[in-house]
Amino acid sequence: MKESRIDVSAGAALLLALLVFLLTGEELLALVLPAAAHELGHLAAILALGLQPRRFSASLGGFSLDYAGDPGTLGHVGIAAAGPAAGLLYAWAASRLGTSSGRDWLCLSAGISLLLSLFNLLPALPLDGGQILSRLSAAALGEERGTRLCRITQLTVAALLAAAGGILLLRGKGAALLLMGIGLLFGGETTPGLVKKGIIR
Amino acid sequence: MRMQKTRALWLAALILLAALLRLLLPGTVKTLRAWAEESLAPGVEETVAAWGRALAGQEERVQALHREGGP
Repeated sequence: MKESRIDVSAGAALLLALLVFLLTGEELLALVLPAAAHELGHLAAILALGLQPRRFSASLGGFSLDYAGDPGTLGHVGIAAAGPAAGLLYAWAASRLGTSSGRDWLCLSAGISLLLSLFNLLPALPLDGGQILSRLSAAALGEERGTRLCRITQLTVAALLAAAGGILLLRGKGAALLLMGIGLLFGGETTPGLVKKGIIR
Repeated sequence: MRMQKTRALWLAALILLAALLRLLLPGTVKTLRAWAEESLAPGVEETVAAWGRALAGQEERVQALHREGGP
């Protein structure tokens, strides 16, 4: 059996170093723990379905987990949904703990996890929501039509995000949302290969 | 899960270097943070933390309703 691997791109390594440079320890934890909870959710679902995680990749676009085996459409959907579900659970727990202990960084972490989970549920590849949509639409409509639907949905969601981000930028609220929209516009993949392979983010 | 040893060492060294530079260049850290926050998402940290606190607030409100015999 092929051994599982961890890949970290140069871009991801530089981004991590930049975060270590800029953020305090608590801020770093506030950011890392939600991401860890999210990915652990995916991993737990993969293992629960008796599948083998093959590769964990970290890049500038985010994290992705590649797994071997075919648990069927519902299994793939469950694996994709497990990440945001774990993130929401973490958000609730961190919020409770943060407010009861007076640790503001935990409340920040809860907010980050909430944002991350909801964002990942957007129906746009390569996000988890896009994965769910691609699996369900491929099962319902066939791969070709399913891929087309996913592409249209992705472009629509990305365009709306970019437009909202543009408005926020013009109002002096920063470029973050605009950059996210542009990232989704050009960063998504809707090839049949991705729908077939077990890759989730 | 296995990561190439060489790459793992490089990553560890990069992170240590970043941590060291953070200690040595506090002024640069402050300037960069201010610029990043202003250009990417001014005030977002407070907003996101408020959402995080609100999660607990919602839970407490629901529990208070249950104690009062509400829906």
